[in-house]
Amino acid sequence: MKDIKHFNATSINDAAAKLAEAGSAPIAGGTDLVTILRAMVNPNSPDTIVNLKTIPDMAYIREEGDALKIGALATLSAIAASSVVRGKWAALAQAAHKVGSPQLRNAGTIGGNICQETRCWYYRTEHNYFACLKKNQQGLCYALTGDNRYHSIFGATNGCVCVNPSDTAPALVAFGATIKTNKRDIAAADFFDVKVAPNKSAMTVLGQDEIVTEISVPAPASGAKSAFVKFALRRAIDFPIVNCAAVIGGGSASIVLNAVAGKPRKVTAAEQSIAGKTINEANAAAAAEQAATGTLSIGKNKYMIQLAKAMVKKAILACA
Amino acid sequence: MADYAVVGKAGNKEKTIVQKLTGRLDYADDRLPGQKLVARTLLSRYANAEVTAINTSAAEALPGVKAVITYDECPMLYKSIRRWGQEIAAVAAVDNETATRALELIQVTYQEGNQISDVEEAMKPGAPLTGVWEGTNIRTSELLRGDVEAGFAQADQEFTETAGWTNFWQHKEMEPWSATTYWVGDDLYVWTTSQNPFGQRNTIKNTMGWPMHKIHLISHGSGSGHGNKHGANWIIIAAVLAKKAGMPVSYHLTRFEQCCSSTAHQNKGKLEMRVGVKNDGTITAVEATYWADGCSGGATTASGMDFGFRYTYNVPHAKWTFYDIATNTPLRGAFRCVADPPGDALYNLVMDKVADKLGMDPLEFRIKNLVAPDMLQFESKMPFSSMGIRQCLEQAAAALDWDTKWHQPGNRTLSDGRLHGIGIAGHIDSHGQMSSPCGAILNLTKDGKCLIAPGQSHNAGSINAHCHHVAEVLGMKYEDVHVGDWGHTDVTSEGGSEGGSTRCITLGSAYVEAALDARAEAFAVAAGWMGLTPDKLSAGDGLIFETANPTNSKTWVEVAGRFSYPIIGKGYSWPKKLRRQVLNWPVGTDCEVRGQMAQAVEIAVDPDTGQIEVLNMASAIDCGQAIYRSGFNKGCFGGHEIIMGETLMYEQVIDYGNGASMNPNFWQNAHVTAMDIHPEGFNAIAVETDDACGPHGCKGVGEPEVSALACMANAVYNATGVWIDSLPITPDKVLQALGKA
Ligand SMILES: Cc1cc2nc3c(=O)[nH]c(=O)nc-3n(C[C@H](O)[C@H](O)[C@H](O)COP(=O)(O)OP(=O)(O)OC[C@H]3O[C@@H](n4cnc5c(N)ncnc54)[C@H](O)[C@@H]3O)c2cc1C
Repeated sequence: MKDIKHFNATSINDAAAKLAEAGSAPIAGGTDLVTILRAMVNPNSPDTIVNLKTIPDMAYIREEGDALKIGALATLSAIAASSVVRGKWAALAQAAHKVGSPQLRNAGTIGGNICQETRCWYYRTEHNYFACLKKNQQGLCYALTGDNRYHSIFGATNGCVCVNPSDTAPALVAFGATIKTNKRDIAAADFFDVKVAPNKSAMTVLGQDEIVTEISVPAPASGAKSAFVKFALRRAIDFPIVNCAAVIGGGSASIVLNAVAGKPRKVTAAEQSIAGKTINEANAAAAAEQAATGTLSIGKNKYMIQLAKAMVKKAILACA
Repeated sequence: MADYAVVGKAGNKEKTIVQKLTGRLDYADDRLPGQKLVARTLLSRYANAEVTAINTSAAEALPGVKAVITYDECPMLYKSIRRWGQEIAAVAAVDNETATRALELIQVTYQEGNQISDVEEAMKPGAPLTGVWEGTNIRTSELLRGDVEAGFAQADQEFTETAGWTNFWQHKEMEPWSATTYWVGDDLYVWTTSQNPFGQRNTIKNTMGWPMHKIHLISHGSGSGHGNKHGANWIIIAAVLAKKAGMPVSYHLTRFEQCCSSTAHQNKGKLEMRVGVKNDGTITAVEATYWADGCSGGATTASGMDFGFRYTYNVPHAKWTFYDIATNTPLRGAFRCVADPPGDALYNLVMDKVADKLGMDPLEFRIKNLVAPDMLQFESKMPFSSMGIRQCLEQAAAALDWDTKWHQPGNRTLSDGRLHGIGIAGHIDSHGQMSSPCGAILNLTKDGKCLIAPGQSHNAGSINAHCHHVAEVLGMKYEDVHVGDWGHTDVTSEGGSEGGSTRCITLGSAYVEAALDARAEAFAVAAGWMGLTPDKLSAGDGLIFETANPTNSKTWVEVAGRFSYPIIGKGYSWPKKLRRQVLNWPVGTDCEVRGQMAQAVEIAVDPDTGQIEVLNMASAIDCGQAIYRSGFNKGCFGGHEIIMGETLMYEQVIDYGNGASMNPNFWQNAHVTAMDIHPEGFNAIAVETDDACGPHGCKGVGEPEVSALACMANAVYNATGVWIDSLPITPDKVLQALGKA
């Protein structure tokens, strides 16, 4: 286990300056990062931790103009409980509420939730027992030939078939949110990636000294409704096997699956199928069938294709 | 049935409930805070290998490291590796981080062998050897009853049905293996989690050659134990390190170590059964083959898988073949018994499959073929001390309204579109009987109370059951019987193994004797005072009174005030013999004392997601007589929770490519949460048959609910019309069965 240096940042610039050093990474609630460090999952994991929680005013949730602005350090429980979010952005509040357990939601932040590492069990085995492709460019993607019951049904991203486990990510993509960093604005749909052999936030496009500062979520078209649904074995604690967020109404539909691929997956064919139609059982089922477009079973994960269809249908019906 | 004053009464509280709920029950890891070193073990990266060289010098040189040991110094560390995660070396250091870092500095050279962690591969003819046994991966045994072919000749129909594999499953107890150890000269002091403190002391003595009287072992709190806490591996590792370091050492396993290392797992099992039946559903013969994954410890317990079948059903002609297969997977061991749970799941599934082929209601088919109370057990030729299997099946079924709710497979849909299913299973268990002899001691204090000192840890509820037995015999109130010290090998009497559902009955009988012993002395004191002879006295409700004239009485407090010294009672457990006549069998006959049970479950299956929700469940258990009633209910409920997880959700997943455990943690592989259970839909029914051997008519029920493994699967068939006979029944399997994946 590495010696970890801990640095309390006082401002975003302060944090960015520290993060420019190789081997450093930001920490927010720590519910993901600390477990990675403790379990010695990745030999490239950071040895300098830059604490963002000491930066003032980064945990706000407010409506500004027609948009929802959430500071990167807002906790999931605050988002789930916020009447502002529960109003126009119901799917996001529902997604935040579905994460882990109350303790995890009290500590976990939205910034950390969209930057969290994959839960691929080959990647995450303690003590780096599998020096897999994601940690080591010479490595193998063990899940391709191994037990891939929780892996991508949309093929590999950069050779890796891990999935993005975030519950809030599909909601943000479905709402067309913008992720603001200290350097740029990134559309949520372009924010996610699977980096192999990195040392920091490996499931996003962020650079080494880049920090998510705010998430800006536009209000959905008037009359639109949103919903988030999640499939997991247990009703608490478990990560999604498949989740789905939908924003439907006003003639358009935005439907996004997650935990099915390396990045949240917009299901365009399903969106087109339901957009402008009455939401009913038959239309939802027809749209859900489209969710299978482009899927690929790699062994043990074929059932996830059906789950994806089921989640799309359920999310659409919940928007009625 | 006897009318008891204390035994079986509702509302009696758990003796140490406050300590338990506040974490103050003196757990092993709480001892010597700030004074002890922390131990960690180096686990093998391979599932089959020989360690050819090991260099610990860099680890030893790391500041803060106080001792490093390898297989050369400790028999619980290994050079020949047969499973992934097997322990090779151990380190004691000033803190967890230093110990963990030291492990990374130990250099190990391995010579890799063939690892086979997939049992199907290991049993193939010509498969490479797993190295667990000399020259083979398979061991075989057989058992015969009657004349099988003659039995099949009497059958009108014959079916060959299969079930399995069941799943590989680790305990996931709240408190992992844990010990704090230190030495004073040659004396070893141990605090540990335990299901058998005296057995652990014995194992330490036998393994290390340290004198028994120099081993002082204490187990006060155990964060549950379902068969995993009888051994002493972790204690020995800590003790050897403590000796070498000259300081106290604590070894408290991480969840990862707990899942991968020497701890026990429930094995995988499979069954093929040929069943001969008459048209009316009477079974005439069976021929069964069981396969059990014996894992890397080389356990040969496949024959145990069929125990319940042999005891439950009246099948005069049978042949059994058992295969134990050695694989390079974590150790197999007891988890609510060694072999019963997978076995009970398998034959109970086959019973339903045969009933289905016959077009019979599975409840009716079971009841038709049960052994009768007046039969001797086929193999042992002994009578049963009580027999409640039929009531269990009938009452579990009635609680769920079986007659109205059971339907032809796959033909009932609920209003929300989900498929409705109901299933039942039941069996006579190998558990709940008198086990090896043990002793009990108690003190009657001069303030009129009783202090018991059981030689066992605070684990499940059996210590509370002893208090009931004692209060009943002494005629004290339950509140006046307390637990003094316990689980301490220097000051308590050998309490035996808290396993096999035996404590309430075995140590319970010793406590009945101890209470009688003490009561006799107290009666002598009271009789002298009251001018009577002791044989004229009785006790009840906190009083000692003249039997013929109950108003002539003294309170226990008054009598105890006249003790010139505290009175000690001692007693030994009863033999496994009838204590009253049963049918024509006289007192003293050797007998079978067996817990019996049935579970029925009602479920809803979502055809879109394959998710199964347990709507209602009834568990009817023949416990002879419920002694500690809320303990009975809690035990059933806890069993229900375990079985739900095991049946519907999780297994320890092994990567067959290299034998690694893929989910040795709580976020991917754990018990169901409170959110998944509907307590209001769970019904625990005590079937009371007044056992003719157990104290106050009881039998043990520590391992209830295992029939539930099969009743879930049977309910899934009833809901979907498709058999899913491998566990766990996860959404992928359901969707596949429904043709959707
Ligand atoms: C048992 C368990 C169950 C869980 N269940 C779920 C679940 O159901 N659904 C789910 O979505 N998640 C789940 N999680 C994961 C995790 O708890 C949440 O995703 C949480 O929101 C992470 O937030 P955090 O603030 O704790 O992140 P941290 O652990 O602090 O950080 C996570 C990652 O994000 C980076 N990071 C954090 N903040 C920023 C920032 N502002 N800018 C750039 N990078 C940043 C860190 O460097 C790190 O790489 C679970 C975790 C556990 C342990």
